[in-house]
Amino acid sequence: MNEFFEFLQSQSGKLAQQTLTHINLTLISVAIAIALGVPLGILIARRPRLAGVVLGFAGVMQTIPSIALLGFMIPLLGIGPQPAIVALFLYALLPIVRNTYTGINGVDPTVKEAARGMGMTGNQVLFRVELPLSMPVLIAGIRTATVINVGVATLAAYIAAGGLGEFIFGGIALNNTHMILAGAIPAALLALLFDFLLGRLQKRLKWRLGLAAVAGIAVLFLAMLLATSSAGKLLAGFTPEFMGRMDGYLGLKKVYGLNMRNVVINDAVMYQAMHESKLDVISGYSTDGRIKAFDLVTLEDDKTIFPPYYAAPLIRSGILEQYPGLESTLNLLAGRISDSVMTLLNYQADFLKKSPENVARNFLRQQGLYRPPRRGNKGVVRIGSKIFTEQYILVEMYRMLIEGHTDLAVSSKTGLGGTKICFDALTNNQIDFYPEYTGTGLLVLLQPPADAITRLVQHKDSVYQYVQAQFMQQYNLRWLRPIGFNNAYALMMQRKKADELHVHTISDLAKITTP
Amino acid sequence: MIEVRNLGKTFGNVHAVQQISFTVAEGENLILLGTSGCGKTTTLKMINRLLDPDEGTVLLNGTDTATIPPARLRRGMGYVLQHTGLFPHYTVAENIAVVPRLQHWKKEDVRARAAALMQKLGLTWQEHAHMYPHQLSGGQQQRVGLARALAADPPVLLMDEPFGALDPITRNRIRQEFSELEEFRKKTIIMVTHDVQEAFALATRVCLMDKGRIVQMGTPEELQQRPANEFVRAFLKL
Ligand SMILES: Nc1ncnc2c1ncn2[C@@H]1O[C@H](COP(=O)(O)OP(=O)(O)OP(=O)(O)O)[C@@H](O)[C@H]1O
Ligand SMILES: [Mg+2]
Repeated sequence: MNEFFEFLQSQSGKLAQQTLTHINLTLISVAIAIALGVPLGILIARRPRLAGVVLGFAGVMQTIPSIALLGFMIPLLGIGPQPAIVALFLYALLPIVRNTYTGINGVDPTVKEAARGMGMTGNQVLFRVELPLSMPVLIAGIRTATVINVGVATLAAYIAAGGLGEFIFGGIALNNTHMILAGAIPAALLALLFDFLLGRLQKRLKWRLGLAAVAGIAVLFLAMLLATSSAGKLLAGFTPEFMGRMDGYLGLKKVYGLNMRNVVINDAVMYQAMHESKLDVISGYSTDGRIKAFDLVTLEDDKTIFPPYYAAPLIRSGILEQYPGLESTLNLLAGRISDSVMTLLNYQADFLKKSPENVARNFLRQQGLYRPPRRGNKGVVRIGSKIFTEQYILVEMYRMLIEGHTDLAVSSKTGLGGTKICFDALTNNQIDFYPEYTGTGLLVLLQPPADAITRLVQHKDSVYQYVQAQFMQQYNLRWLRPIGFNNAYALMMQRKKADELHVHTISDLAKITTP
Repeated sequence: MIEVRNLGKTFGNVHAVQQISFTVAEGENLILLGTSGCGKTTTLKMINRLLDPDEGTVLLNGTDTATIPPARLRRGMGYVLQHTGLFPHYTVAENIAVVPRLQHWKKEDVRARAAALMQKLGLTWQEHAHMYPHQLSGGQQQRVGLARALAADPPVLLMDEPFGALDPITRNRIRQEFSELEEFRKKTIIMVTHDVQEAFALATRVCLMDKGRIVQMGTPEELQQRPANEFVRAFLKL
């Protein structure tokens, strides 16, 4: 608990700023949704034929998964607050339009007739009778929209619009509970606060005053927002995880003195944003299939701040003793797959939509390692994997090797959420091995003191040797020989742009971005 | 003052009103009398253009009402709805003040007028002015409805069963009080009822309707003494 408050204190500046951004995103989008949604609701209450179409459209908007909607926005509006606000606005539209429509339709027809009978004009009936009487329903719609948007606005961090999502997703990526809570708790409190305030407002709202306030908020914040967006210099997009790590942005700043304009963005939309030339530099993984798909180059880490992430099977010692032929079979893959080969294999699965099984079989055939399954029954080896393409492909390869080269059978448990889950499954004897990366073993699982890390990461072999020794000693687990490729962090640029600017190493980048 | 010529209105295939014609002179009280569903309300609403007639015209002081903007037309015609139709979000005082406010009266004048009317109709400012319609009894609501229609002192009053939904005793009393008001005496009134006694008590002339048509029109005495046919005789229980 104390640690949490210390964390909050250390992050208080950023926390305040992100909370403010979060409030901005929510209020602007809801204000725009009110400014457009209420008139739209009034219109369809007047013209019932339009109601189906309008409500249908707004309903469809709501069913689009948020992250997909944000993705659609990138080609249209790029990244940053604008597309986030548009997406949030679309989400807020339905509850507001629908409630305005229901509210106005719900006003007693006799009362409306009385209003007309007293000599009110159409607008007077609307502003003096229909709107005041539908106000509770209308405000309920605004409350719903606001609460939804406080939640959805956390996803704005995916497309570089900031907000409390940066803490939440950063925390998830870095496995840092304090960081997650530092985002989630304020977000929950904001939702409650807005709900409460709007509930109060419902009782004493002067309609015109409210309208003016809404319009005011929208204009004010929009102006603030537009004022802060600038263009021109190179822009980097980093994942929340990368932002918070010493072997990430923090190291870039410290070791390279890199000081460039940057935004926080989600891995899934980052490459697309780069492809649309909305970003100039991104952080990624060096074997990602998208490097090939989008024709990117990785910048050389000439001062070695990114630790090596060589992949190798992490395996229980017990199973190796139990089945003596197993180790040599698994080692058939050792040193066979380079970075570019792994990138190609990932590309085949992710972009050419081949199944990991096909990709694995083709590769083994090329290497002359493929043998048809022997359907042996001497025992079962249980393989685990994390949930991404590269791991699926590797697991398929190991399965084919074991089934073809030994009399053992395989049961694979693909889709074990993350590092921690795989590792726990392994130490609890629920799986026998899974492909792991030396950097992950060092930084996530062993977590040695900082100075030890700085010393170790300079060399690929020293990390491997260190994790091998430590895992044996602490967990009785063995690292088999590395497969060859290094799926480390890397900075990437579009090939064309990198050539244009003559940027090939991170030092080059630091030089041209530092004034 | 008001002349209705050959009015006709059809809803789907229901002929709600057919060939209705009458004139109402200034200061006259015309009572539309008839069975439920015979087209009384429909006729009334065509006079203040809450409904547009399919056939026929309505003239107000010689001007075709179709040429007068509806809102302006209605501000000159007090309207009491069959089911009171008070504004639930307004207090009694605010309900009464609606038309004067639409006409931009001064605040003090509006208040004074509302207070005066309330007093005439047996409501007190202290007790009732700040109550909402749902806090009033049915009879009180109808009084507020009347006050609202009278507030801006319109020359014409259209009343749709203003004393309906009341027990006979209360009904008689309110009617009595109302007929003694000076407002009642100097205005041109078209009032709907299906209560024969009420019609005879208030009418200068009665217009007896059945199935959308006028069966007989005349002073109460004329109807009583020379009923046009069997329907009139039966309806008036002669
Ligand atoms: N908006 C409408 N749509 C369809 N039919 C209607 C509508 N208004 C009235 N009618 C029909 O027109 C006929 C006359 O109705 P109206 O309301 O004028 O009767 P009324 O004489 O006022 O009856 P009551 O004494 O019950 O109030 C009825 O048959 C009614 O069903
Ligand atoms: Mg009626």
